[in-house]
Amino acid sequence: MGKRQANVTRRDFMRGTVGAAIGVSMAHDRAGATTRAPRPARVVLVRDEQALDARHAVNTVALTRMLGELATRVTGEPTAADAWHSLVRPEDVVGLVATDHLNPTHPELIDAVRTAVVAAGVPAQRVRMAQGGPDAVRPCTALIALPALKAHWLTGIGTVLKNYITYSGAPSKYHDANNVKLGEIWQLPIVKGKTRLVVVDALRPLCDKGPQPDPRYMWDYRGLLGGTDPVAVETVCLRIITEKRQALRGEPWPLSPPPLCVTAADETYGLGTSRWSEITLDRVGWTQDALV
Amino acid sequence: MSLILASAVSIAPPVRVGAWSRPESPQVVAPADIFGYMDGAGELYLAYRLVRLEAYEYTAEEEDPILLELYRLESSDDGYGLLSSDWGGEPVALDSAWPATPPRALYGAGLLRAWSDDLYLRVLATTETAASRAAVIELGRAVVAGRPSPPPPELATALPETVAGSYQLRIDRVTFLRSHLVLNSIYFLGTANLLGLSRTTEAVAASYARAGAEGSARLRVFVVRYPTEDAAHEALAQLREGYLHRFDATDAGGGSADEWPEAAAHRTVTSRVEDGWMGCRIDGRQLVLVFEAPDAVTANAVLGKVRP
Repeated sequence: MGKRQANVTRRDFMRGTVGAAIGVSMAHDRAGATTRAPRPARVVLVRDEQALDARHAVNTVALTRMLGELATRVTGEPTAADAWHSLVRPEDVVGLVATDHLNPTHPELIDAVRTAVVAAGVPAQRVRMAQGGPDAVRPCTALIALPALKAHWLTGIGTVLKNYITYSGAPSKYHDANNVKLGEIWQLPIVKGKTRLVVVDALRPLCDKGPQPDPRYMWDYRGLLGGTDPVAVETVCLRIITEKRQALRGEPWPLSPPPLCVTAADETYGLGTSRWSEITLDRVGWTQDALV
Repeated sequence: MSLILASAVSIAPPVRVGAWSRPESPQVVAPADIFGYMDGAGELYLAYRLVRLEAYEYTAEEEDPILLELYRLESSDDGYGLLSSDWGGEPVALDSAWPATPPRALYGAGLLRAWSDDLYLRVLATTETAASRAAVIELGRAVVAGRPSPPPPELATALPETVAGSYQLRIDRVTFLRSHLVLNSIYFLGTANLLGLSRTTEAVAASYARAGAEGSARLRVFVVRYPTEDAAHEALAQLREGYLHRFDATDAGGGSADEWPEAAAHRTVTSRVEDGWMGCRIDGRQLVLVFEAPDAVTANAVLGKVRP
């Protein structure tokens, strides 16, 4: 796992041969690009202008409403309560996987998710904060990924896929060149199949890579993104960040390094789709400066 | 390292600034402990040869905190390098003795970044207000007062203002660096360290744009200075193996990919790749590279103009 140093170049990225460069056997066309069956996915974007005030403080009433709308749309259930009942079972041990670095997940969002999960019948003592090493995820039977939307200076984007890096037990193995392999962490036996929902905190994203938070690149987007395909959700996140960067500079300002881990999660690890053409984006609420 | 640490005398920033006051002692972070302080972000400061970090949190009863971070580095060039990774923000003349250009301090949205000799400052107000802005800038002024202000790295100032006729240097896109991680954060070349960058190399990454043209009419130019000529040749060989030989590169009449290390030692070599023409030239221990040129003529013209 992550032992072989990946060597992916700019040319691989432009040719669509990232998977081949990693050296994982997949079907490729004559040019080396990966071929696979279509993977349709649905991503929900909910925004509310009232979600943050002028000092960026969270309006918890609006946030709870947004979260319910998101869960309903993702699951197709008629109400928020039904939606959460369909996502978790009373016998589950539910891990909430928030981010605590760079652009931390808002605690109000974590609380809102916890409340919804408990209301769906999971005893409060079986809902735990599950960010950490393998021991944090091992007892969990269900995970709700709760990353915050942000760019990252080593991986291009550091939102959904990077959120589980500590589950590898050796995060440093995924630094530097091997961050392209972040998708394989989602395939570990202690992780695979447990993620019931991805909810991205896009209330106040960070669109440049840092490596430390720079307030010039944070803005009040006042949104939540959600879905069950982590790669599709990450792909929409990428689009928002890319568009924001271009808007800030008035010229193309691509993420660098490019988000190779997203392409690889699709083409190499089969976690979901990174192809915009396969993603249905369901937009709800405030539309101003939505960027997607 | 212990000698370096011992010689890195602490700076004593003001005890009070506006409504804010600091603790008596800073949090001191050695390079080996940088990841504990800031997770993976520490790679950036190691890449610019961090000697030690001193951090103070200024607090006030009615205001959000202000964080002052003082990064002591091995050289003034490293301090310039950190500032040069992003020239955005409002230039602030913290010291009246500073030369007018380039800016040595930049402020935006509550964050002040400054280069002062071998020191890089980062002063961040959790919430930007008129009072916190004034305090942040006052802290910056106090820290840099009386300190030397050496010139920018020679490599960064030696770039020609114009190349290939109409391409002009973007002075807001000139970055001094020593690490492939930093290079990739500006211009992704490859996950491997294809140019053999290290603490002992110096490099500058720059963009040139054609006057009056839209977005894509630009060139990327890199100049790398290695400790020895052999190191420069090794780097070029590595680039050939890792970048050109992965796929077919089209000969532009200046040498094929197979010829690169040998030919480049004596003349300019260019090849066509996916995003345009790339080219290379070795002059002694210095390697000059151009990417995204529209044609071989332009690539050659750039390489002919950018010289030690």
